[in-house]
Amino acid sequence: MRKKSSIASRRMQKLFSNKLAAVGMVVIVIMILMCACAPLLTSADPSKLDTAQKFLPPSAEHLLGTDQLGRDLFARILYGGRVSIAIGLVSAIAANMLGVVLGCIAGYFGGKADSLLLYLAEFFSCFPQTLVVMIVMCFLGQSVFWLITIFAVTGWMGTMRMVRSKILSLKQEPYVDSCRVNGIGGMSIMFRHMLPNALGVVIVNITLSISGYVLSEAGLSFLGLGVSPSIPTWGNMLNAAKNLTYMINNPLLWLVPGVAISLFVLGCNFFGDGLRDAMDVTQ
Amino acid sequence: MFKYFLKRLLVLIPKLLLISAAVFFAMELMPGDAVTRSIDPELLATLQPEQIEALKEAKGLNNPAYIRYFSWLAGIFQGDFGYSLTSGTSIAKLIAVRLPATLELAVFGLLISTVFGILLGFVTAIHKNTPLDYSCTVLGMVGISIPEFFFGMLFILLFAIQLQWLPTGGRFDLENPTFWGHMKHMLLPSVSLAITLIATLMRYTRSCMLDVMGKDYIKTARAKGLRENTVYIRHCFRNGCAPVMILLIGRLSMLIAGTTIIETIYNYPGMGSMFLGAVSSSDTPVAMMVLLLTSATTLVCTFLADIVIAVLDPRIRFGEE
Repeated sequence: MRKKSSIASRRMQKLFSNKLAAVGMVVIVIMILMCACAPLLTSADPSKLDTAQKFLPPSAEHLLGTDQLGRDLFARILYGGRVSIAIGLVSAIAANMLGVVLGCIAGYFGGKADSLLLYLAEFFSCFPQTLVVMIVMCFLGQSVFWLITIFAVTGWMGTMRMVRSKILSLKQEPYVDSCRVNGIGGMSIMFRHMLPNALGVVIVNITLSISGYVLSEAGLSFLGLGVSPSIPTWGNMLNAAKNLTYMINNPLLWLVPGVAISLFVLGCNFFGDGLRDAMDVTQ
Repeated sequence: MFKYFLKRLLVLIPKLLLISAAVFFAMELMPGDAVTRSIDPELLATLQPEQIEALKEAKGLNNPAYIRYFSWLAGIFQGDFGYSLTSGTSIAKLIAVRLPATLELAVFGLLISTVFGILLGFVTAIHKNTPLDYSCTVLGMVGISIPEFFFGMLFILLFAIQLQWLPTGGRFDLENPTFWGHMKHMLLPSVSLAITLIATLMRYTRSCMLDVMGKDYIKTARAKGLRENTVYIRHCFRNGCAPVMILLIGRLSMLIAGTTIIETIYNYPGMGSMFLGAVSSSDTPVAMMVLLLTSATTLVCTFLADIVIAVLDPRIRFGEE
């Protein structure tokens, strides 16, 4: 037990001695806290229309001004961030969970299950994710639930291959044999004894894929195919502001959500990269 | 080598059949019936109901799904891609108009990104742990994190509106139909497309080079008295470039419809904007045909990658035989 905690603390030390990773983490934590505490930071309603108050410049009442329909931009950034970050987080976790379960099965049981799952992964990888997501979103309707489902269904292959190869190498370890000799079932060996040893790569992967899914959501919503436009998200805010006249006359409308997306994704990438270096045992 | 090539080629065929079957049956399940999809609407409008029935019979549209699948597939090989639901034009014609535009944009983007990405990766690997390396690494991370449409919007605001150097979008300039007028239209879209690609490629090349640079045979090459540049190019890159090649070949599938977002920002009339239009107006045949072409290209790219890797690394081609 003591050994384990010392490895963990060494990893933590390594992670925080990496300045970029520390900065990244601070940025993500601040942004998540701001979005989570949105009602405390602003009293404005992000969806309240008020055409008498459109295109107001930043003021004490409207911290970042208002948009073309008189909605408070600061409130929309905070409430939009809630949806955008939640979609990124849940999609990343769902896609990775699917990958972990299938990867464990493929790596542990091998044989027919393994080749079937590998073939399935290859089949799914043939289809370009963005195009498939765009087609499916159009036919199933633009809801948050479907978006996350499609992201998960089209995004598990990388994790599955990674977990599979990790499990394959772990299978050579003596403790797996000793588990089997002690009569522990396959499921239990897989998920309780082997998986915790493969969890490092999965956590790194989740962190890095959050940024990918936040970007995908923003791109899709920017094209008008993401979440329904009535829900504020960072991508939807950009979509509403991509008109050339708004781009020239009201740059805040698209600069603010653009910077928010970029900052959050940058934070995730720096943190994830630092995490990967810290988890890397070979170094 | 020839045996290996043949083997890879044979593996490709069932995969192509599988993805085309997936696309065909997905299309069957989606709205829009087979008649409007596969018969020229202009012809259809002139026919009597019984003639339509006869034509359906002749075209085999009353057959079971799996037979229709094979005749559909045979049609594709003969250039019959079906008809758009919204405009009624043949999809082959639509693609013939749109594809060159996207090819042009993607080729420019890929060229710019390949040259600068490999160059920067090379330089940062050689000057490892110097301020130059650190700043490039941070900039690379920034390049990956900023969405391409945000770059696109910033570029339009800066270069097209504030400085007025370049047009805000479109493909051709009717007032200035020269080569340079055309290049002006290409510059912003292809650069915004290239930035993310450069950043990824730079990071990738750097780490591949660093993997190889610690190897013993690099020390040997230096000890032989080879010039540094020869060591880096002939010894490091030749051996370390296989993963970079796989990445680059994988990007070729972008040539078909990988530029949707950039095309939307710059009002560029390519496959991406056609796909977006088709998806938003529920024009299933067009959307699915673009999907099929892109996936088939992806498959061919993996085949190409296998071959290139075998050429670069004799262990693979001899190991398989």
